[in-house]
Amino acid sequence: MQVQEITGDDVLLDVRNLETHFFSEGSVTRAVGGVSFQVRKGETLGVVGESGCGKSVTSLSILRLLPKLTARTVGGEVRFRGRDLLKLSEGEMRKIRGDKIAMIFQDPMTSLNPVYTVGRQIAEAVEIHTGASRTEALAKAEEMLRLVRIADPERRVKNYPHEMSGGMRQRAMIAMALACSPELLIADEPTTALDVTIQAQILRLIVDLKERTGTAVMFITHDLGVVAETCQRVIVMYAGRIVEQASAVDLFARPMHPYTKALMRSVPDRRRGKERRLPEIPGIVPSLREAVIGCSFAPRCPRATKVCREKTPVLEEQGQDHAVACWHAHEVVSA
Amino acid sequence: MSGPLLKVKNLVKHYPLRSGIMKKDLPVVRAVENVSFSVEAGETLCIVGESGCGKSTIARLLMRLVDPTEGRVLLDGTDIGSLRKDELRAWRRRMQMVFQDPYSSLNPRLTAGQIITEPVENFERLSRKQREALAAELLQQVGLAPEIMHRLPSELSGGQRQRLGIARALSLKPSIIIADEAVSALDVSVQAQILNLLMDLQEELGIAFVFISHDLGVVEHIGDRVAVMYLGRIVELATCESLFAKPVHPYTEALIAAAPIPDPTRARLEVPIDGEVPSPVRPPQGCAFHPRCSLAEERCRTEIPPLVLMQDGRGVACHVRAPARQVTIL
Repeated sequence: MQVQEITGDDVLLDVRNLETHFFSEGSVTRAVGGVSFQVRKGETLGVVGESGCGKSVTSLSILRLLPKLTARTVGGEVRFRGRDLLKLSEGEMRKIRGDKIAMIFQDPMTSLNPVYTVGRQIAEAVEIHTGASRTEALAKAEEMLRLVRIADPERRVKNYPHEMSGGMRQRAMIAMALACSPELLIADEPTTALDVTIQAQILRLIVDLKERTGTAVMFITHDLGVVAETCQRVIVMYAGRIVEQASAVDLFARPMHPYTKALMRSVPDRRRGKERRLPEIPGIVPSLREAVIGCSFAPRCPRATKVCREKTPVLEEQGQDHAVACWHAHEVVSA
Repeated sequence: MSGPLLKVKNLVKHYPLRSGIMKKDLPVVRAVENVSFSVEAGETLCIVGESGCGKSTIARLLMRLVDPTEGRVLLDGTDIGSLRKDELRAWRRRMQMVFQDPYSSLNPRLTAGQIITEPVENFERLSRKQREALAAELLQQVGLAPEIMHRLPSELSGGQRQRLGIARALSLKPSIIIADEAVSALDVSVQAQILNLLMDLQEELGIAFVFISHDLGVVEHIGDRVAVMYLGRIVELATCESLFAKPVHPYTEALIAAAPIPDPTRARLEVPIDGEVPSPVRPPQGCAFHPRCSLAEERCRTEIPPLVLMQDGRGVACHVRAPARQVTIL
């Protein structure tokens, strides 16, 4: 059985067989190798995986923000409310970015312009997308800073990014992203550079604002704890592919893919008691420069058999809203 | 020799904000304020805290990469601050460091073998044969294949590079290794490998670690004792077990509560403390944590709480939770 297709009004973003490659001196890196998933209206979808798994490239492909000289989306569709974003002109795409789909990044210092005030930068997005006047847009900027719980917003709109702390800059980025009431917010490791107490504040803020505005969130992170705290559904990526997809509750209670299981076990967790050694995943992530034959996790997988090395497993439904790409999914569940 | 391997006494480090001649009362960054602790042979002391709390400055002070404004660092009873340059060189053999970034802390033009044998060659001449034998032995010790000795860092993965950094630190057979965020830049699966390696090496070689990290999960896993720092001071110092079972200082409590738990059924998305860490240039009067603390009393606003020895052996610097009727430890 293939993954069940959810259609109709429920689906906001429908990514189908997305393939993105990077090109350099005679070699091709298959950063995203055929990824399909959906983001439903108002939900928070977590995208989790380790460095190089393709999670960030997937989000950049959706917004068409890849470096033009070295990267190209070579296949698939990105349907946003039924329209394939990959087929739009650059002008049409620009209207969608920052308006219908907004994005926040890991490092707010490099994504804010250092020579403009924070208020000016938020106002700019509002002016472009809503046609508001400068004064109206600046008033909106102040309102947004208040919404993201920045103290003293009247004063802070006149601040330059360097006059703010890291946590406050991330709040300002969120304010900017939400200023035009987007339907989808893509958050790429938004709290990774922050201290834990500030991370807790920002996560709370994102969850609260999502509930209030009904914006769907695609939350990209390497941190399983952050996923558990914020997301309703999760996709797990490995070597450019989705290996598992499930509701957050189900994924943490019954991880099925051997990689997901191994990933969860390699995080120190006191609830398992004080173990002397952490379970490791042997070996390293495969190079994406060579075409992968079979399951890309097979060389590191304790359960790999002949079929794993020969045929690539596809994502298959294994239960209520829980899909796995593994030839041995059933056995892994019982183990 | 009895007594602790490493002893740190009333360490203070202030960095002037601007340098100038004859200027008085320049503003200073109070990076480390009156920090004392000790490390026993073979144990792991973790230092945990958020950015700007002074944990990395302590690492640099321990290695004497910077000189303290006040206070002393004693290794086996010898004050490393009093050593002449040539003496210090010899003492440094006993204390080595592993850095956070396995990319920028390795010379990109040296082969793996050269990188890990270079420290030894600072002290003695090695023949080609000796060098290769040493490199092979060190590589094997950190779980790398000997063939790797001819590769450049750019040809290695992040995990392999961090193993190389550890091999380099081991080459001089130190009695203590300072690891500053040594696993923070690594993916969790690689992080697990490196943590296991560090723990194995400690068991085998009896090396003590000062393990600096912001990650409480990692600290709980690897540490024997933990020092929690806030704005340049230790606010709580306890065994790992007791600290995580029952944090006493309100900041420790908040730090533990803020760490996300990988279990959606228990997700609570707690925001334990509002606000941000104040500037170390103008730290708040009294207890530095008081502006963010829900327990703060009048006294907390005026008087710096000393690190007080509690009944269960831990040290806590808090007027409310650890009133100073007990003996003050230093």
